[in-house]
Amino acid sequence: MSTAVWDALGIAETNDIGTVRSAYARALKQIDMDADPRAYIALREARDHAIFLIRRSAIEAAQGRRDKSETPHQASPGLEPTEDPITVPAASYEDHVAQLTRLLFPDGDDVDPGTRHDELLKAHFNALLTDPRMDEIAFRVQAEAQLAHLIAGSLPRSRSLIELAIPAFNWLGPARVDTLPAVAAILDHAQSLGDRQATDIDDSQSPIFSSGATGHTTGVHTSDTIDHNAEFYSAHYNDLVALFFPQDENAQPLTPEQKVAARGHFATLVSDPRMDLVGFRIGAESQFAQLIAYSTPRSDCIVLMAIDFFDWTTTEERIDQPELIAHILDRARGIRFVDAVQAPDHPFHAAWTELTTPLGDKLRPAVSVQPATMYRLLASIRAEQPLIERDLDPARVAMWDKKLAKYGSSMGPPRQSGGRVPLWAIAIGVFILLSLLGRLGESMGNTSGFTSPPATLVGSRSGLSATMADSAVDIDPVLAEIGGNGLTLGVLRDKNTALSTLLDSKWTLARDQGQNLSDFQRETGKLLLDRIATTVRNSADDNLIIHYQQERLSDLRMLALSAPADCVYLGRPGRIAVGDVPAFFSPERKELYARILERADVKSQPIESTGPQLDRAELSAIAARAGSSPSQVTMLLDGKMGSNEQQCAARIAEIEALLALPVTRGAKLLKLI
Amino acid sequence: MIVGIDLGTTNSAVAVWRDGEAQLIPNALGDFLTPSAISIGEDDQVIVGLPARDRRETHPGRTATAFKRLMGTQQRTKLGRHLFDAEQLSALILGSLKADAETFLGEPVTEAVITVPAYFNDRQRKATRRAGELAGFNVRRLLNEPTAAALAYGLQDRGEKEPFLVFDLGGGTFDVSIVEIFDGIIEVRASAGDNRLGGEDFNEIVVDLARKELPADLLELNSPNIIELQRAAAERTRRALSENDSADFVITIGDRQEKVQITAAAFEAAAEPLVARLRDPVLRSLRDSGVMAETLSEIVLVGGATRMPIVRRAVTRMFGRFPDATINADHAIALGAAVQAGLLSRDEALDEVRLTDVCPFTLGVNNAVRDARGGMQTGIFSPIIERNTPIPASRVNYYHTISDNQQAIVFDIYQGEAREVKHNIKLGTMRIPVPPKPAGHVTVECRFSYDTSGLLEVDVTVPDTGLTYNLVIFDEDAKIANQQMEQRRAVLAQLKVHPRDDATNQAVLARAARCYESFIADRRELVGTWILEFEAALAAQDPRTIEHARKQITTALDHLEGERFL
Repeated sequence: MSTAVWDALGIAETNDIGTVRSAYARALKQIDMDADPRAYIALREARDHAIFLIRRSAIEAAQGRRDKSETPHQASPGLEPTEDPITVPAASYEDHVAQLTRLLFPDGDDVDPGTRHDELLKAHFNALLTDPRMDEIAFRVQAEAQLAHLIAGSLPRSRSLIELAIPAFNWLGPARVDTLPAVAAILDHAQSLGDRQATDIDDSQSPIFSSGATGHTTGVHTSDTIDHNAEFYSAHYNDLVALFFPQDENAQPLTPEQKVAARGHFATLVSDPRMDLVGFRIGAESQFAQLIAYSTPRSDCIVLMAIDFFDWTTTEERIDQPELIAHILDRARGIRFVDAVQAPDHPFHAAWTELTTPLGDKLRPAVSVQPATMYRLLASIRAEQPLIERDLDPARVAMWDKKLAKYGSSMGPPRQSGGRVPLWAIAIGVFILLSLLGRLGESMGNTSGFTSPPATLVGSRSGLSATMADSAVDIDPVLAEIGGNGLTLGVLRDKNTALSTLLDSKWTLARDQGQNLSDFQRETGKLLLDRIATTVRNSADDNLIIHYQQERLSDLRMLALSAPADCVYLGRPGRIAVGDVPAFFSPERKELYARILERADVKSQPIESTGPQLDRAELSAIAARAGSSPSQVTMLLDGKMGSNEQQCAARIAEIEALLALPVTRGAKLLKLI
Repeated sequence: MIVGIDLGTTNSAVAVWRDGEAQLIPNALGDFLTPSAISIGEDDQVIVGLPARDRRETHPGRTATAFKRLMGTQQRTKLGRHLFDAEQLSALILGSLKADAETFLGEPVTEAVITVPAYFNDRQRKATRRAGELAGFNVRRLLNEPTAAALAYGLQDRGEKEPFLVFDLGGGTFDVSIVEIFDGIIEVRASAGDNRLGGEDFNEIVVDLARKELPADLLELNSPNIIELQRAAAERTRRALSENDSADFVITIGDRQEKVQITAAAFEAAAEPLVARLRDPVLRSLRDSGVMAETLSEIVLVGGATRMPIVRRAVTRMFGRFPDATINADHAIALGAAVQAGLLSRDEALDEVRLTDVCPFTLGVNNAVRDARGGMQTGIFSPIIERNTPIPASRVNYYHTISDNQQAIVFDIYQGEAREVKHNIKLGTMRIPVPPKPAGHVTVECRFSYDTSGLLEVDVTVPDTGLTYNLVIFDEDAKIANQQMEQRRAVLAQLKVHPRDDATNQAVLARAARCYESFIADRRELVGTWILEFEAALAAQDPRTIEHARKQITTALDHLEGERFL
C-alpha cells in the first residue's frame, strides 16, 4: 500500500512535505480534473496519505516512540537497509488469511514472534488485497469483516496490520452506522498509538493558560504587556483548576464562597483581551470544555456562564458537536432543572425537597407529597435527566420506590384524560375474583397480584396491534414467558421506565414497518434475555449472581440427561437460554428474571471479561467433582476436547464447586461464566 | 471568449481574461460596477443598473433590488404589472452585462463563469445557473466568491502563500475561506459562511435606529413605498457613517422631509450583534482546516461592506493584526471569475496555474440509528461526503436493512450539518428495491460523486441482486423550472431594452428624478428647472447640445447631493 502512494506522486519516498506538495502540483497540471475526476481523487488521496505518513513519523520521532517494526519503506537510518524485502508466494485470498491466522494465533503461548514477523504479516496482507475478487462489493464487505475480526481479536500482535488495514478499507472515513465493533476496537487501539488523521497539526490543545505561558504574540501587541497579563490570567486559571480538581480525593463539595470565587475566576479569564483573537479563543474554548467536562459536578457553578460565553447552544443538533460540549449541555439542562425546582412555587418543589432530605431512622416522608407528584418527578428525572439522580438521597429514593410500587400498574404514565375507572379498582376486583378461584400460585410476591389472563404466544393475527395503547397486548406474552404472569408492561412502566420505553419504541418501529407478530415477539424475547444476561454479568450484587447461576445449574442438570449438546451450548459463558423460546423456565427462574428485568440496565454495555483466575485448589476441587484431572478439566471447560457428556459434566462440576465457595469469591468467579 | 461575472447582491460586474491578465469590462455608463437593480419603465422597458437603483425611490412599485436574497425560493416580485422571480431578475442583470461584454469585445459572448457565495446551497446554485441560461449564457462553471477573490489575490504576485483567510462580506452574504498557494496551485482548504448576513442587514439596523426618532404619523403613513425609501435612505446613511462620526437619515415623502441624526457610536452599538455573528464562520473554517489563526499569512477583505470601520475593527481584533489592503474589495471577485474563465479556455498565460476547491456542505442520507436505550431512531443524518472535502469527490458508505423481508431501502439525500435530516436541505430521493432477507442481511453500497460544477450523482449498488441504481440530483423546483424555461425566456424577450446609446441620458434623468423627489422646497424647484432644461436639450436631438447639457446637470447634481456612489 505504501509504495502506491509514492508511485502515484511519481517520487521516491521522502520525509519532506514540500517535496510531496511539489510532486502533487506537477502531477495535477498533467491531468484534467473536470474530464477525469477519478484521476484527481486518486492523486489527492495519495498526497494526503503521504503527508499523513510523514507527519505521523514526525510525531512518533518527537515522542521517542519510534516503532521498530515500521514499514520497511520508512527511511530510518539504523534499521537493516540491506535485508531483502520479504516476499510471499502468490496464493489465493483464503490461503493468505490462513497464513495470517496461523501467525496471529500461534498454537503455544509465548511464542517468539521473530524479528520479521511484522513484515511477514504485512506481506501477506498486501498480497491478499490483490486478489481480483476484492473488486467485488460482496466479497470485499465479507473480507473486511473477516479481517477486522482477525486483527481485533489478535491485538496487540496484529498491530502492524492496522496502518495497512485502515486506508485499505477507509476505516477513518465518514462514521458509518454499522461500523463493526471490531473496527471500532481497532481504531481505538490505533488512537492510543498516536495515529492521527492527516491535517495540519492543530495545537489548540496546548495549554493556553498554563503558568508561564507568554501568550500569542502578534504584530499588534507588544510582548511586554502580554507577558504581564499572561501571568495574571494564568494565576486565575490555576486557582480555578485547584478548585475543580482537588488533590484530596475525599474533598467536600464546593462551599458557596468557593462557588462565587470560581465564577469570579471564570469571569476574569473570559475578559482577557486575547479572547478576541480567534486563534486564542479556539484554544481557550477547547481547554475550558475539558476543564468543565472532566470535573463535573464540581464545575457546575460555571457551566451556564461558559455555555453563554462560548455560545455552545449553537452546536446543538449539529453532526460536528464535540462530545465534551454535548456532555456539558446535558449537565446544563440538569442544572437549570435543579435551579428551577428550588423555587418554592415550583410544582415539584416539595417533592424535590423531600428527595434531597437524607433519610433518618424512620421510614417516613419528611415532607408531605402527593404520591402522583412524586411518581411524576421520579419518572421525569429518570427519563430525561438521569444525572440528577446523583443529587438525590438514595435511601430516600429507595423508600419512595417501594412506596410507589404498592400502587402497582395503576401508577402508569400520567394519563391526560380523567374520568376513567381507576385501574387499581379493576385490579383489586380481578385480584379478588381470581384469588377466589385459587389462581394465586402464579402471581409474583411483590406486585399487586393483578394477573392477566394467560396469553398465547402465537397470536391469532400475524400483524401487530394497530394502536399504541395495545402494545402491551403484544409484549405481555413475551414478558410472561420470561418473567411469569406477574411481569407485564404495566409493571415495567412502573419499575423500569427505561426498559418499558425501549420495548415500546421497538414495538412502534416494528409496527411502522409492518413486521409480523411472531418475529417481533421472538426478537423481543431475545432482547430481554440479552439484557438479563448483561445485567447479571455486570452486576455487583453477589447474591443475584449466585441465585442466577443456581437456576442455570438446575437447567444444566436437566439437559445433561436429556440433551447433552444443548447442555454444552447453555454452559458456554454468557449464554442464557437454548434457542429462542425459553419454554422450560421454572417458576422460580421466572421470578428471578422478573426481578432482574425490573432493574435491568438498558444501555448495551461492554461485558466485563476479565477477572480473577481459578487458583490451584479450586481447580482441583472442580476436577475432583468431574472425575478427571485438572489439566483435562481445563480442556473440557474450554471445549477443546471430550464428548458432549463430558464437557457438560465438567461445566456442572465447575458451577457446583464455585457455588460451594465463600460468597464473595464465588460470585467473582461465577460472573465470568 | 468566456467572461467572468460577479453577480452580487448590491452590485454586479463582468471581466475577461485577455492579454495575460484579467480586465474589467465597463458598462454603458462607463462604470465597472453595475448595481443589481431592475426597474420597469412606463412602456415595459427594462431599466438595469444605476438608473434602476435611482428609480427605487421614485418608482418603488416598479423596481426590485437585492433579489439575490430570493434565489432558490419561489418568491416573486411585482414590477408594474409583471411578476418576476429572482432568476428572471438576475437574468436581466446578466443580459445587460452580456451586452456590455459584447460591445467591449466586439464579438458575441455566449459562455460565462458566474460566482456564487461559497455557502449557497444546492438550490441557490441551480437557480443561478438557470438565470445564466435564461440570459443566453452557457454557464461553464459556478465559482465560489471567496475562491474568486483568492484567485485574484494570488495572481497579483504569483508567489507562494502560506494559508491566508478571505473575509468576504457582501451585500447579502458572508463567506470565509482559507486558501493556500504553492507551485501555482491555488488550494482552498475550508469554507464557511452565513447566508443571511451582509450589508443589507446593517442597513436594517440603521432603519431601526431611525424609526425610533421618526414622528409616529409618518411611520403610519400607508405608503407601500415607505419600506423602499427607508432602505435607500439607510444605505446612504450607512455609507456616510463610514467616513464621518455622524450622518443624517433623510426621508422625503411628498412635500414632507424628515431628518434623523445617527451617530457612528449609536450605529456601532446597535450593530454589535451582527458583528458578533462574524466570528462563528471564522472559527468554523479555522477548525475545519486545522490551520492555526496565528499562522495565517494574510487576512484579505472582499466585498463592499468590509469598508465599514466597525467591520475592519472587528477583523483586526479577531486576528490581532491589520487586514491586507492590496486588492480592490469591489472588483476582486469579478477579476477572479475572469481568471477562472481563462483557466477554462486553457490560456497559455495560466498554464502553470490550477485551482482546487472544496464542498462547503456535508452531503449524506437519512439513516436509522440505535440510541442509547437500544431503540431505533429514524431520520438521523448519515454523512457520506463531509464538508470541506476537496472536489471532485467520490465517497462510499454501506447501509443495511433494518427489518426482516424489507422490500426497499429509501435513500433521501440531504445537504447540511444538522444531526436530524429534517433540519437539512433535501436534494432528492431514491428507492432501492432489495431482495427479501432477514434484517441486516442485505447490505447496499451508496456512492456519492460530486464534481467541479457542483453536480451530485448517487450510485447505489445492491450486491445481492448485482444491480446498480443511478440518480443525478435534480430537485423538484428545478424540474418545474426547466420545463418552463422556454416560457420564461419568452416573457423576458417581450421586454424592451433601452437603446445603448441612450443609457447615459437615461441614467441622468433617473438620478435627477430621484433628486427632485428627495429634496423639498427651494431645492426641489431648482432640480425641476434643471430637468426641464435637460429635457429640452434632448428634444433638440443634437448630440453636442445634449452632451453639454448633460455635463451641466450632472455637475449641478453633484454639487447638490455629492457625487454618486456605487
